[in-house]
Amino acid sequence: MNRLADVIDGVEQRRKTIEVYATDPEDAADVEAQFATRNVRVVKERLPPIEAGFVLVRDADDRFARAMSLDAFRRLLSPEVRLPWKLTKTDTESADVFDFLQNTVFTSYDRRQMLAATREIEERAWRVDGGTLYVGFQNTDALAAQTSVYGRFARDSGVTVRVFVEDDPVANIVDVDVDVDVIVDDGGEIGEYWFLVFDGDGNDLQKCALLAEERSPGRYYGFWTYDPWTVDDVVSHLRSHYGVE
Amino acid sequence: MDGNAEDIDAEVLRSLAESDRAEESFRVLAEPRVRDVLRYLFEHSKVYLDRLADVVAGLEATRTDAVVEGIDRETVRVLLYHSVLPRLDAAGFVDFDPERKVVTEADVPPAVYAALGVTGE
Repeated sequence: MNRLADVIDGVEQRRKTIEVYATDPEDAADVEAQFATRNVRVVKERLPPIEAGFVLVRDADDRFARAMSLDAFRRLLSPEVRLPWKLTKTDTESADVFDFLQNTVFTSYDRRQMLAATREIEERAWRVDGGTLYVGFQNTDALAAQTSVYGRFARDSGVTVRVFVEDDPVANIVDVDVDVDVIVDDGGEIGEYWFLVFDGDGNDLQKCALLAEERSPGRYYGFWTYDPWTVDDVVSHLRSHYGVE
Repeated sequence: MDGNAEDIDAEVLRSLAESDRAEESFRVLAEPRVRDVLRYLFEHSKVYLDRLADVVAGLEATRTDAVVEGIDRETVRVLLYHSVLPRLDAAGFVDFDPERKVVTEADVPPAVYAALGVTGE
């Protein structure tokens, strides 16, 4: 693959259906707004008035993949953002919920939603305590905001952090924590993408990635995945294209 | 809503007790999965087993507030096929065709639907 755009295209090809079962099918309107793309078909089904609603995801082969309550799904779309080392008792639950929508392209995530997804990837890296985390920030301001998180990774964990940022001759990169490796890209794709890729320290079961393109200001189009082949593809691209390890 | 204990109006319970097949009605109403099946049939008088398994699995997700995976849904499907639907068929509430895997609403007493909360009675 040649570009990060190709990775998103690849995921878009894997069609999914999200069925929203609710007493009022208009409850699906927010789901449709967030997910209806060529990757995802949103279908609305009615339930008798006494039932609480739920969301069901089908794979490309149209089989039942998983289901969750509509309330839980809404919480997934409006997550709390916390620090990766502040692990809570609800770890497993949040991983299940995050897993619910893997490989499902979202169309207009805002920064808060992106940060929450970012934390899921960081938490996994923090728990594994090894391997490499590749992080792409579109610009130095975005990097500066997260620099304390990655500085802590570099000092307090076995995770190697490699940060990619678009070149900005005016901005002051020395504000970045000295323990973090920064790779500067001169006017290529890095300026358009927000990504985190964790190589699982070589373990396929721990590989994960978040990749999104800023298609309009503050709005992101992308996906997250636990699929090891997709993660390997992105890691190879970053390593070969940018000459890093 | 707690899947095991639902509020049923006293009047409705009284009509149910006085209805035909009261004993079978009380038995079937005791189980959440049975209630799910009957409520769904109230609005969809014919449904295939696969769709019913999807719906019942989804409704369980709303009760447990957890993610229901494919394997849980398979368990639901097996229980519907081998236990729930044959019993409802034997009680006369539905017609279940195990070969074609389709369920049709047969004869559910109005008092049962009232107890399930799907009608205004």
